[in-house]
Amino acid sequence: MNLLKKNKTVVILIFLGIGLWSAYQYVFAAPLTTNEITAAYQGEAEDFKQLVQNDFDQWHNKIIQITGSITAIQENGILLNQNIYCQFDDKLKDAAENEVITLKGRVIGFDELLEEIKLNQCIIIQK
Amino acid sequence: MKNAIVIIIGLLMTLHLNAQKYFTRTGITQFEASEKAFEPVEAINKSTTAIFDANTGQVAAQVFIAAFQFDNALMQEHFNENYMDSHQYPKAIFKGELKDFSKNKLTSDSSFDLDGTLTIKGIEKEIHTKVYLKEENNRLYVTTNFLVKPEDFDISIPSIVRDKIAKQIQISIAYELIEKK
Repeated sequence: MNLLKKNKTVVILIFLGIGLWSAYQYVFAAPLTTNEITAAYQGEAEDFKQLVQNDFDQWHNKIIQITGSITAIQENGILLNQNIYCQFDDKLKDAAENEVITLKGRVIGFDELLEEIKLNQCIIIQK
Repeated sequence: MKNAIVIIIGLLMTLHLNAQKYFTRTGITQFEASEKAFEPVEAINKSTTAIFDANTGQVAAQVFIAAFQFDNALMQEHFNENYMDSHQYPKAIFKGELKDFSKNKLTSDSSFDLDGTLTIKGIEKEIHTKVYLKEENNRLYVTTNFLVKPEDFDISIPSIVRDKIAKQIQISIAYELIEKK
């Protein structure tokens, strides 16, 4: 007890330091990556297409993990099952049409101009 | 009857061939609303969809609000939830026309006047700006920038951060359009 009293200032400073540090971490943290977020949906791309027909809005900004087949390859992304466009941050390597792939990405919306479900920040889970 | 159908299909096909459209799924739309001496308020969206009709000069673009990436997670959250209501209004839409556009006028530094309507949070605002356009390897490179005000789209900035966010927000775009087949 005596020891604690003696070092009161030190203890207060330590707690204050921890407090400030956590506040700093909270305020200045970088956004979480796709990898760090648990997927709100996991399953077949085809099933997801059916699912969003009922209510697209609830999937905005959600991370999903889907399995489907590559129907087209673009510079920065792929089309999965004809009308799910998945954008990658990095250039895509060794992807082939008709290949079955599992990927995780963020649903950013339904593209009315091209009539596609659009995902970005995608990462490949398995292929 | 059969002949008529064949003719109609033939006509539709020629129309289709003539309609030379260019598009991108990965257009870059950025905004910058920083005030000097404060933390930068800016974000980049690399997932803009844009379509351009080279015959009529008409442009349409969709900017997905959830695709704006900030360096700071908290800022990104506030942007989506408090300022843009991205759940209710998931995208911003631009529709417009390049005045007197013709592919023959394209040079390495050609520019055209763009008139159009920007819709954010369901509120429309007329935009007039100059667009720089050039063609290289069968791609169209489009760049432009213009200013908007948060109050034009009913975005209220709380007084506590008002000094840290610019009154005029600069929006810049850079799209690389490929021919739509």
